[in-house]
Amino acid sequence: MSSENPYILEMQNISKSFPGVKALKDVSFRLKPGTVHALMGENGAGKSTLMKCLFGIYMKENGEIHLNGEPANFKNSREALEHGVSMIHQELNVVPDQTVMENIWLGREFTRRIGPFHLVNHRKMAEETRQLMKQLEMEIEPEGRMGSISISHQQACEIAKAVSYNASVVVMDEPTSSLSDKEVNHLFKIIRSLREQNVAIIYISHKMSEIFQIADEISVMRDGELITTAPASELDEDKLINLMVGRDMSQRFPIVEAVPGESVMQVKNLTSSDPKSFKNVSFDLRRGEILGIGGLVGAQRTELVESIFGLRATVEGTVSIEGQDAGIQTAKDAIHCGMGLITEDRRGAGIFPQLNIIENTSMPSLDRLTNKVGLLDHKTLIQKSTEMNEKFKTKTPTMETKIRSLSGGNQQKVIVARWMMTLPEILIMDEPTRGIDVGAKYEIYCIMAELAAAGKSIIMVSSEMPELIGMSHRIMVLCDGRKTGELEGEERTQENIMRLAARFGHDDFKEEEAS
Amino acid sequence: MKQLTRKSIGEFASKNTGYVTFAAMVVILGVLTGGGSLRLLSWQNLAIAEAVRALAALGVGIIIITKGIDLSLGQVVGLCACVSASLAQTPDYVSSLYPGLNLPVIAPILAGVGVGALFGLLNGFLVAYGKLPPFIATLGTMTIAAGLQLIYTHASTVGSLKNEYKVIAQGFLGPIPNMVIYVAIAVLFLWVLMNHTKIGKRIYAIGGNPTAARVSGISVKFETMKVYLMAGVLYGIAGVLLSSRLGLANALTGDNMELDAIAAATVGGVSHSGGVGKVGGIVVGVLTLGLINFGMTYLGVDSYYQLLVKGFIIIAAVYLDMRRAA
Amino acid sequence: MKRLMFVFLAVLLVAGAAFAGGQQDSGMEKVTIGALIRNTDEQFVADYADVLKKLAAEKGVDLKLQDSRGDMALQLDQLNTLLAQGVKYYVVVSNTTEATADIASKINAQGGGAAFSNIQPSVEALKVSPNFYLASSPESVAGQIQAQILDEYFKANPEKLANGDPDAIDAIFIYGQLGHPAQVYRTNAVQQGLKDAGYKLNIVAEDTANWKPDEAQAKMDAWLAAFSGEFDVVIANNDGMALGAVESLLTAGYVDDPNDPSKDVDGDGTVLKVPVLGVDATQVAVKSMDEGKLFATVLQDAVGQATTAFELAYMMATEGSATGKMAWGLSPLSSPIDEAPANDAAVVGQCYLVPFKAVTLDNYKDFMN
Repeated sequence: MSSENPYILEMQNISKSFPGVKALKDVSFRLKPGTVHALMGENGAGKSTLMKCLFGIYMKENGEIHLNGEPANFKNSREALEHGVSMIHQELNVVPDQTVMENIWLGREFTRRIGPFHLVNHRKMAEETRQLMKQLEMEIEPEGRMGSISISHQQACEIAKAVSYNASVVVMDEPTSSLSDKEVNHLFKIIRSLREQNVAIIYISHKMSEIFQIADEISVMRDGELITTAPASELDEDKLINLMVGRDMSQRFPIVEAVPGESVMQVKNLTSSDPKSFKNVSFDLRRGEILGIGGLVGAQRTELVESIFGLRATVEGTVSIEGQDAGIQTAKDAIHCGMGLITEDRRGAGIFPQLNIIENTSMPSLDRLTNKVGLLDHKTLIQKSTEMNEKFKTKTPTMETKIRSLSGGNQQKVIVARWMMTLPEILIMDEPTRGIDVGAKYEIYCIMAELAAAGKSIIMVSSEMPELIGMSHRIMVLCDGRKTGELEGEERTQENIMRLAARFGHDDFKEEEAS
Repeated sequence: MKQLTRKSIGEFASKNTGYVTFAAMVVILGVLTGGGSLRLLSWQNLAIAEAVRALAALGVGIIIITKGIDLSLGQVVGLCACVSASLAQTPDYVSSLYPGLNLPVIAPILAGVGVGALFGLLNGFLVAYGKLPPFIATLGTMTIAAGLQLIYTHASTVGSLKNEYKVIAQGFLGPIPNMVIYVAIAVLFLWVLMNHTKIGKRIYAIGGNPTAARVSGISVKFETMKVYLMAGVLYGIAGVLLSSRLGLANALTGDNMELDAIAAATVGGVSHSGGVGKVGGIVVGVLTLGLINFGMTYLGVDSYYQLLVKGFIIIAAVYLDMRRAA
Repeated sequence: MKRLMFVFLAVLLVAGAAFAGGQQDSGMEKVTIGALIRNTDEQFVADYADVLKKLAAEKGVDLKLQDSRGDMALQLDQLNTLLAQGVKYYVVVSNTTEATADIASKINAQGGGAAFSNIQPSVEALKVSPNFYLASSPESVAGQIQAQILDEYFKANPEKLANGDPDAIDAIFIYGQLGHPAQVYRTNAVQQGLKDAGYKLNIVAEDTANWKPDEAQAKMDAWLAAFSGEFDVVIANNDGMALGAVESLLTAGYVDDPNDPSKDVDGDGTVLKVPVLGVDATQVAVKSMDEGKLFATVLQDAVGQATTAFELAYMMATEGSATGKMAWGLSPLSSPIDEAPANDAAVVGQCYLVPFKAVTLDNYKDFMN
């Protein structure tokens, strides 16, 4: 190890192009040991391409990579891992049916020899795992089943795995996307302890507040170029946003001009058929209103909106549209009642990956686009789908492009276009800006504001408090399946939301149940 | 006009590998057989030989598009063939299953198609509403159909079919075998269904992402049921035509046809991960495997080696298709 | 594009192989005979095909042999392809009797002829033209011979009927693949043959073992647990399954003398408590008879059938007709027999019956290679 070299990892003048796109232009990125280095940029800015070049998933066209001053050209992530460069993916790569320790030591199990056989030494594996957990101050039982522990613990195990390989560089891609605030704090504790052990961390995230909590240095990428690298202390949110989008964005949220009118939907005492889910939730939705639903992970917000939309069963309560019980049993009923649902899980429950944009846009509207003979009116279908996507500025080479090749933000726009084509009165958006970049987020916000102004009603479930406050007329907060309050006007503050979201400690709730 | 450059030809070829492969094979085989394989008679033979398989492959093809599978195909086709044939035996035939029975030709056709439809409904119900994995559900119905086939025929051959029944499949319209006409109608129907109706779009949607399909207001169960039902009807037609063509049916009729049909659909570009597949592709898949069969028979290749070649081609086609999709 | 190249290669490979085999034959004025063979998975059919190949090589005939692997539709496709190539004369082992009339009409439409072996052709098939022949020992005869062997056995050892119902033959049947012609004809014939010989037949157990020894052994294990001492005989549709049953009985100690399982204490010709019968006379089966285990089997004469059929087709191809001529030293039948198609006076002259042979303790040594 060269002692004069202040950088553990140096990527110099990296270039990479794909047919028609220059994905990386002469990018130079340097990482100091024992620092948390945030890598920021809109989706498509080149962050993941850069990382894929590091891990050998893509072949770089130009440039050099040095690890500890030595040239490093990994052929695959396994080789990178063996050299102490590890990546924690947004979607965790765990084997749910194996134990925690089996996951950590996968492929390099400790064995002992008995006669001609090399048998797995479970005791040693458990012992080593416990050591590892202790070193990282984690409390995870090595012999527990991976699938039965929480996502945050699974993630912690992945980090432990990286440490077990003596990682000197750990890349984390959106590590907090499915964690609650408490879990995020725990993650940060682990990250800090890694930093103390002189590990360098590349932290990729869209969440500003986190970046400023954890990062020592920040690099910003835009359009395949590295715009700047600076200490976190020299930047603030607005500066960062400006750097990322390349334009002045003093306003993160558009002004919502719509004024809520009369009540269009009434939910009364809605109770899930799952006893662990929501109970007795009542609320009204008004015309032209954006109603935010806030709460912590596990507050049952998604379950509530999916039940309203007919995807989950309820045992009690009604959903009325303009005073009439809508009797919604299936998503089809909900669509007939003028509702649309943009799901939280875009990949799992939103897009049809192998279908093109036209097909993805028109799927729920096919009933209206079928003529008397039963054939589809292709001309109108293409025209309407194209119009909608143009309206929402979906960026795509052609309308026949398969949706899976679009970026997250553009996929989301297609899904918004999909539901707008059904001419809904009520649009439910579950985490509408999750995993999409700042520029696209702003565009989604503008669409929401426009819809509200046009008299549509929107229910927005969100975990991002600035988003709830910036976009909603009114915020309903859930905690452990109960409605704990509504906030309007000046009451809409982060403190108030947090107070309502944490209304019941888990134990309080249990006691109330018992009484 | 678009200029025909080397690049555009290459692009066309890579987008339509199925068609190009088939065309290339026709040419090569034509050369190897000294033009013998290009004669009208050869084409008629090929078409007649592959017609029944084409109907079966179309049926199982749309099932595979929904990310399902149907192992019962061969036995159901066989059962439909037996039921249909049993109602079309000549009334004076001594070993007839129903001696003296003399029904108009439409009766056996309806019976055969009806049995196919029933099995389609059963498969669909088990998969869509019973939530059984399609492999297991149809493994069960396959065994049931095989048993029924034996029970119904008393394990003997249902033969001596009426001429007006045999002519359904054996007849010609000018130089065109009747079989080709039936298949053409089925292909046209399915092509319109898959590309120009909401049912088709929904089938692709269900195969691609069933959860998203449900959110989009598609009743996934009902549509899945419809797919298995349509496949069952196609098997029924295939069974009727098979018995009409052979002039008989027995408990062995249709055995292993599921494997040929699934292979053909797969070679034709239907993806087993769901949501991908074209009606035209399935037809080309059937013809490609058929041409290989035909060519090898024509050239006198030992039957054992024919199996080897077919096996390799299926694996290679799927492997390359998966790589192209990745 | 790669798939394209692969298929090119595959086809070239196949064609190359075909040319290598076929090239030296083409161009000559050679006799061509088509052979449509039911399924060479079966020992008899495989032997039959081998004999044909040998005969073709001896006579310099271009033999186009096609195995339909049990698929009637495939057999029809193969016939169509050969007809399209101009092949006129055939040796046919059909998948089913009922298809033979169609096969004959198709061949006749091209002015050709055929000899049918193994599976009998229908009377209608032979009536298509005098150029269609039966050169076979019908499957049912195998069953009849099994019945005859058993008749002799029980006449010689009447005390062996004592198990189960003492007035009846209490039999266990192990079938080949259900619905398979050999299964159907052999089974019906042996059952009918026993009844015709005046026995009451009580089927203790029956099931398919799909021609396979291991399946037969497993079935027999189960039956032994359930019906020990209640059956007089085990009858299998082929030797493989019969040997599976023998193995099961030996393992269970179902023998005359459990202390010395190689001793035939009661002198009935088998060390087992009950006789086991198969069909095919495979070498393994004959060896088992030599060891006193398997009781008897039946030889369906592959050489005789194949040679007769081949000579008939060859005569048609070279001399234009085979009517009334001798084939493999056999003359055509002169008067009808009981069984179709040779029961119809109009076609008896087209029937060459190849004798079946019972393989028993008296003569098994003649069949050992």
